[in-house]
Amino acid sequence: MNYPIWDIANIGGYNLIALISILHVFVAHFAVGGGLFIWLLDLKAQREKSSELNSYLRHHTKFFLLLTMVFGGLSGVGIWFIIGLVHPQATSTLIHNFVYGWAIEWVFFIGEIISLLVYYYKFELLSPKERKLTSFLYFLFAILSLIVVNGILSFMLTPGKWLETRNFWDGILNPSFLPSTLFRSFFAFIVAGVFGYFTTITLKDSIIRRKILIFSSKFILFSIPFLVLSGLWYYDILSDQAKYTTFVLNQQSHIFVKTIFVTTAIITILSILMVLRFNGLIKAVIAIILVPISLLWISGFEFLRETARKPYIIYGYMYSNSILKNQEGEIQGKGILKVSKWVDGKNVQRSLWNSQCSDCHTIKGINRPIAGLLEGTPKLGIEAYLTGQGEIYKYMPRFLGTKTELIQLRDFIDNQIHPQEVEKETEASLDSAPAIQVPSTSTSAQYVLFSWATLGMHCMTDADKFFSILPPANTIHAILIKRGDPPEIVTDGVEVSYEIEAGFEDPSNRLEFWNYVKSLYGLDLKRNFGLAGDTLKGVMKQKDEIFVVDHIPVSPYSSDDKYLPYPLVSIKAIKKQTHELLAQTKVVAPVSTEVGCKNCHGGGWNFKNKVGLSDATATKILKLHDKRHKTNLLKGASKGNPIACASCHGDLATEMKGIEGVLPLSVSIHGFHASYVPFKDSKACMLCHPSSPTGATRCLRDLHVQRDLTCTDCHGSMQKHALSLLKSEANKPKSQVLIEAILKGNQMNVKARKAWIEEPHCLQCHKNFGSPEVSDEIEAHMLYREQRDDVGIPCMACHGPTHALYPATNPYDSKRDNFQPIQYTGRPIIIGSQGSCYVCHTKEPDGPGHHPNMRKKTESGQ
Amino acid sequence: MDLPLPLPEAVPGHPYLFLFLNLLTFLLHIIAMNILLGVTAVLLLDRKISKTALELGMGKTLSIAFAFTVNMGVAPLLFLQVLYGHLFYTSSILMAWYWISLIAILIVAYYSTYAFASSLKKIYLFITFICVLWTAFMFINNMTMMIQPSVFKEYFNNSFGTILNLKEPTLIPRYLHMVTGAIAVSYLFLALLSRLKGYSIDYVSICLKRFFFVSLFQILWGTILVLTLSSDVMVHLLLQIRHMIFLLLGIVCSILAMIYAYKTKIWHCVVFSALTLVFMIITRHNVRSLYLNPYFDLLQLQVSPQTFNLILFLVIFLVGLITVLYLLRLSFKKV
Repeated sequence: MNYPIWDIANIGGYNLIALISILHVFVAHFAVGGGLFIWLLDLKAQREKSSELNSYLRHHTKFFLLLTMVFGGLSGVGIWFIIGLVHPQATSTLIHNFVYGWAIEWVFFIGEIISLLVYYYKFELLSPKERKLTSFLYFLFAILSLIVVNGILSFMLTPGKWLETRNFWDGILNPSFLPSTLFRSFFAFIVAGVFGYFTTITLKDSIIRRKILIFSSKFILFSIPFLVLSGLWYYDILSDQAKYTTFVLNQQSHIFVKTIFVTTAIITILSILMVLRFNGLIKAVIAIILVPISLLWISGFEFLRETARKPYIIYGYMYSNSILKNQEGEIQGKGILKVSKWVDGKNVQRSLWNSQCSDCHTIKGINRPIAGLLEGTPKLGIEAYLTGQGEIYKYMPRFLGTKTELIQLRDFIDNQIHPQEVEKETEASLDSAPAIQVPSTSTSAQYVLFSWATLGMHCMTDADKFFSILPPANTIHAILIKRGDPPEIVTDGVEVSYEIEAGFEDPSNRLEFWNYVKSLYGLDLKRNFGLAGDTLKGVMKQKDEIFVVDHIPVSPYSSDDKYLPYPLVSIKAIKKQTHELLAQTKVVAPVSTEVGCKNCHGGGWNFKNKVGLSDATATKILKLHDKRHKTNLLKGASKGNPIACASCHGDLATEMKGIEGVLPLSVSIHGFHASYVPFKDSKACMLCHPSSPTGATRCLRDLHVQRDLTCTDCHGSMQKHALSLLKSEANKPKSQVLIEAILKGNQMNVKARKAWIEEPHCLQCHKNFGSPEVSDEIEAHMLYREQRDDVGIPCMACHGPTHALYPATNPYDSKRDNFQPIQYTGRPIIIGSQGSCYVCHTKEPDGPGHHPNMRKKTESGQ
Repeated sequence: MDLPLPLPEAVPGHPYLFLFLNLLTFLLHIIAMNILLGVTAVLLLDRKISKTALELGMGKTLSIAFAFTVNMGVAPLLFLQVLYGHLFYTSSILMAWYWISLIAILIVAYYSTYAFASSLKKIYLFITFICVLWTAFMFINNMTMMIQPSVFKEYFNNSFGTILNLKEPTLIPRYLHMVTGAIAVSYLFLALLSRLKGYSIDYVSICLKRFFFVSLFQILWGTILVLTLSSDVMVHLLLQIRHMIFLLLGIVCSILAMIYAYKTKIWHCVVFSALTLVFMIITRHNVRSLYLNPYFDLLQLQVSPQTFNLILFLVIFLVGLITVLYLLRLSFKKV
């Protein structure tokens, strides 16, 4: 923002800092620990009056001088250079606040140089006392140098009270200063021992070599327990937020933690071996390999420390992209481009990339390249990532800027990653559905049969090779009414059967569900049988005055290779004893595989470019889940053992218990995605659900659509919807993380509700069953689909199923969803409305009957 | 001027305090660097002097001079960033690849001095010489770019860190003025060292004559440097008393140093050479201020004092200085 960005293309400034810093720190720690090593060894040499030890000391000090003075000194300057180039803003803040610290450290640096030069060049000429003093002074200056520099470095991770006071000493004496100084000191002693081994390789005197090996091992083995203890203290001092973000949310930290543990163990074991008596050649090899192993140790630690500080460069003060935390509000209002000094007017998009992303990412190349991270992710997915960035996974900062800038950055990233591809969203072509004849039922008929699918649309995953969110499982209900005055519900002596439309009898012809149902749901099912044991033709069970068949495996794919998401099911009621046909009708069993994960995750559709979760998308989803949550889902699926999502995320829809403490599926999936989805209206819903008006399903087809109402008018925005579900699981820590991420610091008054069993209700707007008054409140009520009227008739019998309330507009055939109204009244109307009480009543009834206000005229006069 | 100038941050003390520290430590750096560069050049190119120079211990001295050049370079760079960081970081970024590669080049050069100390092979001298010459050239590119913010907009043509300030007319004169100065100072250093070690007056005299001769070139490049300054800056430098006085004093002292060198009055030469350096470093700063005048003045900086820390630094510096002097005394006693 304030400074130009050095375009380092595929390398990334972060990696240059890492390379120079890690090498410097490794040698610098040797400079400190080696100072103690030399001092103590000098005392030992003088105590033992050993000329051999003196000779070794000279030899070791020469190596020490050449490594620490030259490489150590200049690489330290190198850190200054590189941080000024890659992160000038943070460097400037550190310099301007802590210049006296660095000035003091410079004094110590002079002391180090002079004492080491005097010790080395005048070794033979100094008296024993002078040698002791000179070597001690070197060590003293070195460790003081470490203390000062570490004060500044540890400040970056835990600034402590400095955030309020801006006081130099609050910054230096910050919470992690002492534990990290101890931690580094003990590592310094360890690496001194490692190099102690190293410089014995060329020693010919085996007695002296053994003495030095034991001396060096003592350095290492004495330090390791204190290293571990100070390391635990260091970890403990981190804020809860930093711990959670680093070690739970950020998977990158795990390899660094493993590196530290493994290399510590190796160093310990090899140091013990070095004191045992065996072959000198093996010991020489160990001495050599311990150097890169120690370098690996410090690499793991420094990378972990850097990771723990994310998303900040100075924790709680300045983000990695140089934006100050207290500038967020200003930038969200004005945009980042207005407050940046280095905007290239000819290439604004690249300036956005530079200001927001380039500190931590290259496009291609080696620094967390986004070309790899976002491979195959379409524009919308990129936009979603930018929208939700830093809300849940707080190791990244938020995108800061206007919506226009976000779109510009999205387009830049998309062009960089997919220069050739041009996404074109076209309206899905609809396959032609067979024509249907709706018979007319005479008003003199004795019985009338109503039927409905309990869900206005049942979505099924059809990616069973990989996972299952929802299986093929439509539930159909029916009620048989004997016409009369009054009419009565009939169940005794009646059998109600069902049969799927021709062409849909064999879903296993295309669906792979039965190949994996054992793995997914733990059931042995015959082909074409559903989870409750019923198939696509059979007899319904009687339950509470209605007839039901649960979870029949309806598929939207016909045998002639068409996608038809609204197959009809014939329902027939017969007298059990005589098999006399009492009544028959048809009902839509709506089912869709238009599961839109690919809209953000990429991978395309798998059927006629309009529906079906493809293998590529499913693989991507599992990879992401494995990466984020340390699962092995993709591996399990590749071995033929996919699992249902609800096996961990317990879900009332599939009646699976899940794992204790894991959020239920609907809560989890909505709660997680709500902070990413870049829409607040029903466009959000269409991304995943088959409600797009240009899609192949168009599931929202009821009368509300004709009145320009969409999903969010009943369910609330995706954000509100997710919040209401999360609030019902507020006792789980993950809920709080997701709630905070959605709210983004705002307030939103939302009431808790449970998925699948508590939904917004018609009466929210249709107060007392009257004309609607639009309400913003999304309250939980008894489900419409389970509700009955004052005389015990399920609401759906007359009004139709959710999302297909009469009069419905089916995209394939207007008659499909209005079959029963047309059959019984000749018109696509609410059954019983517009004077059609005769459908069930042989005499015109007095009073409202089923519910209040049912005989009140609506605005249209109906 | 519509330039993308970064905003400077507040400083923890009066700007002139940091300016004083910057100039003082820069002086020490220049002395060490002059010995490093100059002695390397002498050993490489001046056969007559180099043999005796080696006897004086110059083989080992180069690596020690390197250590001091680096250490004494750290401090002025630190204080430069306090005062001019917002400009310095920007100019560094424009030449980023050149700038960062200096570290590798200096490591090679530094190790070469040790290799030379143990082998006395000229190839190592040559490597050191080339590397240090290159480093100096890069520093001058950076320092001249830093004081000319109008160059910053070149970033929009090249953001890859490969911009140099080659079009700047003062670049080469400044560079050659510095390089010749380094060689001159190193001859003076050799003369002083040989005097202290009791070498013949002839050798001392030859070194001082070399000093005189090289200084002539330095004056030539210095004159060209002044003439290649931008006209605004040149006018202010030569006509404004508070700027002109230091340049004049510097020139006078350098002429006096040359005269005393010619007369083999070494201590007078040393004193006036030191004064020349002091006044020229101040003049260099004045040129810097004049170039920056349209864009930035040190007194614009906001001050957020840290008085206790300043005192602490001075106390530690004093203690450190005493310790270092003790160690040096110890070292020089052990000959």
